[in-house]
Amino acid sequence: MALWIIAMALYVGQAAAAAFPLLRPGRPAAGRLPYLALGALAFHAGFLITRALQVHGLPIETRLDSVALFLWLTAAVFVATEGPFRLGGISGVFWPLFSLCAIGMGIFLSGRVPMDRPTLGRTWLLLHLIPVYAGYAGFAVATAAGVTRLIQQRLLRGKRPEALWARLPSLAKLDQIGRVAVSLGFPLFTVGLAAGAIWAERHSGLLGRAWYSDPKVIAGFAGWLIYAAVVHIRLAGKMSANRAAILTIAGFLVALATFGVAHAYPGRTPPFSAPPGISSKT
Amino acid sequence: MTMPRTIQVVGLSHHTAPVEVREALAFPRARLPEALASMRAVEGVEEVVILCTCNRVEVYVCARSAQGDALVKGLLTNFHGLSAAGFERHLYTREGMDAVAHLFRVAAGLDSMVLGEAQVTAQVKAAYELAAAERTVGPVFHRLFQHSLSVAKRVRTCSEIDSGRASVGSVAVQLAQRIFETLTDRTVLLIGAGQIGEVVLRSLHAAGARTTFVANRTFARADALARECGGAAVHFDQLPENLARADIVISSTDAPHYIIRRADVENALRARRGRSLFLIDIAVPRNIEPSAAELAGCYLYNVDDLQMVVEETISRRKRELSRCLATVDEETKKFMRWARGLEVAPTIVELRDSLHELKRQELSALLNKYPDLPAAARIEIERTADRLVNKILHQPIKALQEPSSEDHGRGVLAAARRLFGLEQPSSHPLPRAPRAAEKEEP
Repeated sequence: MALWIIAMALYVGQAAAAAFPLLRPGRPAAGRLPYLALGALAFHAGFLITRALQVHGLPIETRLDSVALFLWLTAAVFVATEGPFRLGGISGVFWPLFSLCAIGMGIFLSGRVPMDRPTLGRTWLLLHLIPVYAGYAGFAVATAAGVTRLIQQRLLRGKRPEALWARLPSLAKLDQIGRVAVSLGFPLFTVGLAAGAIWAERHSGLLGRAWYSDPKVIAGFAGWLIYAAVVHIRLAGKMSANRAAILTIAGFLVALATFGVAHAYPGRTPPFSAPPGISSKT
Repeated sequence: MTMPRTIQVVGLSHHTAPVEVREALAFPRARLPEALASMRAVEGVEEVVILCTCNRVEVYVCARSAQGDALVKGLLTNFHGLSAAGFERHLYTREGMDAVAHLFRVAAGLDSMVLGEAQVTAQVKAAYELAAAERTVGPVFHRLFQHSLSVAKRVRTCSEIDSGRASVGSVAVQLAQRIFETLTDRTVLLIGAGQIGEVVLRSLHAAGARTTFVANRTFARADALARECGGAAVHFDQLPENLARADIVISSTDAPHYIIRRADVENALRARRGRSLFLIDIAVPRNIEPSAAELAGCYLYNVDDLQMVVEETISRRKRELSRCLATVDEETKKFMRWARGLEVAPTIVELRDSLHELKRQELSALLNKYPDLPAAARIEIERTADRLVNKILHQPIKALQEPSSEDHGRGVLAAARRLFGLEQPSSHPLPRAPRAAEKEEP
């Protein structure tokens, strides 16, 4: 747990380091290597590896493990795209939001009970869990771009002289990042959801006719619908970039809610958990 | 004893002279080598750099003469064929530490018309490089001008003096870049060919905007301006369709009513299928209906909005000025310590040699008088004599190296030479810049 706490502290440090230059008037935020984030990722990975060694498998025994894996993927995707795509000022929005979510989820889920007895097969696990989490990581980056876009647009339209707008990326770049992140995340998310649905039906018949009575399935499907709308509307070019940004953020909020719903109302489908043969507990 | 070397700058700038005087005294770039050579040929002048920009003409000399200003006036008079009476009152002269501080301020953009502008640093560098190529700089100016460039860098790094945009045109470019990222594939429409509109158009063109349309009541004027920016002129009645094609619209007509109504912008945005539209209304009275700013995807700025950003930048830079001047002051003292070391080094060497020679003579006499002294005692006596000489030298050398002011330093130097009987002129410690006639053949 110490590794997890250190990682969280470093994420908070990275959030402060990324947000502080945005608040200083004058010079544009310089693109520096996110050393604190790299350190946080290392400790975060250490936590996941420790858990993997403890459970002799993929660290998804508890909801905290599962969320930790998702958060690590999200942070890694952002760090990997930050340099090459010169995300610049988005960092000042992404890292504070990320830290808030990570700490909130950590506090909410720490010490909670392990997930239901796993029944998912190894192949289905990989086909379901990894694409879903990778899709969410893409959506998280798109959400950061969307939030930054809303701030930037407000600043530009508000004609504020303090020139914070000069330090944030351009609207065109933010639109592009959001578009690419959703376009890459959506197919992965779709594959993951489809794999999960097929598994649920084949192995347990858990979905059946009353699939709509499962809150987790409903929340997951709602998120998928929103992102499907974003992708299609953007491809058709029929929606302003601002509305697309709002929709992207809404989709991610639904995704976050899915975690909450899955935790509060497990429903009939088992949550993401280690399958027999992967976990030592089985 | 030879005259000590003095760094002087004589010149004029936008602070002291109107543009007519500045342009009359400007050195054409092609004739700068000639001007440098003629100044360098003057007796007593050891090093010369001429800095000539649109806002200043300055001649920096390092000379063993206090008449640097007279020499520069002579150069300006002869070179431009003008009477000194015509420009004399616009000239300023700085000497020694003031001249060094002045160069550091100039190089850092602290003396510029637009406070903190970076272009002047490149101009100082170019002036120094040209003088170096013409071999009119020696050890002092090599050090001084290289130091000025590092001061400029330090000032910019440690402060916000060059942050933000300080002109309406550059603010428009920056805003456009915050909306569209790059301007290379963007279309600009200029309505009316007013002066500020033209400036903004040129700024956008310089930033990469390639496709330009100009609409003006006088078609020929629109055509001429459009050609200059590689664009095309359009008729006024074609405005609605061109509004939808343009990403950036600059309006600067003197029409007393709105030329672009909210409905026009609404139609254009609809035709653009959600793509942003940047409207710059720099006309007074305004040409674009202000309520158009409420439309999603429309970014409307008027001249006051742009001016507000400019003023914010300038006031922010002014707030940084005292911090920058403190840096300049610190670096000036650092340079002066080095220059002072250059000047006093021969005297210190002579002083040491003189006292050690005295010590050697007295020790030799003493030891000859007592030849039976044990070796240990002889060594101890020699060490005591060394310590004594070093203690005697300590305070004078300290006083020579750390003068409280330039004049005081020269007084201390002269006093030291007189008190210790060093009346012979000190030799030059470093090689001098060769005269024009001494230049190597290419």
